[in-house]
Amino acid sequence: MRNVDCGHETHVESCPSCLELESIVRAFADDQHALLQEAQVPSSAIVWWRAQMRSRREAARTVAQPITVAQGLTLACAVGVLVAAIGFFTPTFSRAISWATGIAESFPEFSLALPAGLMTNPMVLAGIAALGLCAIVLPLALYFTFQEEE
Amino acid sequence: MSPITFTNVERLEAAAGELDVVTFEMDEEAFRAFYERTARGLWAYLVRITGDRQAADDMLQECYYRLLRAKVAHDDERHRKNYLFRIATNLARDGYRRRATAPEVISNRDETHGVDAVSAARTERRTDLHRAMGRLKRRERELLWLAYAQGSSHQEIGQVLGLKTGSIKPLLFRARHRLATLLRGGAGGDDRA
Repeated sequence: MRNVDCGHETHVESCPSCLELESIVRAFADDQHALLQEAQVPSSAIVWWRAQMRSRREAARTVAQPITVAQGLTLACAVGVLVAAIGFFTPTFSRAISWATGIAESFPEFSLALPAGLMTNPMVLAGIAALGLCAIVLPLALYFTFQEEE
Repeated sequence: MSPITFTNVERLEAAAGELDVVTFEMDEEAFRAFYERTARGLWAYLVRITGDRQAADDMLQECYYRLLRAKVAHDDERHRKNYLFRIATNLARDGYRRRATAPEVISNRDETHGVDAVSAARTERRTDLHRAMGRLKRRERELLWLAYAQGSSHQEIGQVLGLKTGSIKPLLFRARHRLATLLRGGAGGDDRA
């Protein structure tokens, strides 16, 4: 036996330590022999095929990731521009902007020195709405994109 | 001249075309031969250190997949086998952190009517070993199986478990002593990891 320190059978029988080691080694050998007989492992062909398929799936997912992120960004910007466009043509939205501007002017220490009419410029409104929605939608898009990988 | 752009579909199709040649660490013929030589032994190792046959079944495929995907150069088959068992050890440890393990339930399928005395003694010894192993720490189970069932050298055990070769001998001695105490029915304690 490989791990037995003493090499003589008579010594093993009279040495408690070696006797203990020999019984343990025999127990493990019997257990391993039984387990090897009981093992029902898949065939090598199946294991190889599954590995190939999995590798292909993971590679395809990696390739698709940048596409999904770009789509999420595009969607967020498009929705922002749409909301801004709708809002600009809605009187209520314009009144809300005017009200907010008036509130800001009540606190001169916090107000920004913006050019007149800036907040009613449709391009500015579209840009601000797009940025705002990007800040909300983009993290969600990234979260759902990468959640699939877990 | 406008740059050539690919549509999403064209990009995925191009990627799929490249994936027809999946690069693994081994070719199919070499892998299948290696698998035939090592799969049963690996499964037995996973069963003994996890105490769960179903977990061992699940981990077996994962071990070989990780081996194939690892970009590691192996000196020889022995080195590759040690690396495979190291993957298995780490997988089993990760499994331990996610769920509580329990000693394997010994089925009665080994006990048949009219079994001879030798087989009965062997079955009893095996049952005692299972119970004792269930009370050992995870590292102790790993050490003992690799040393006394696999017949691995201290250096190989160190490579598989990520330990220094010089520390294997005292660790193995303590594990063996504790197992022997449990087999004799002594108070070995229940501080399993």
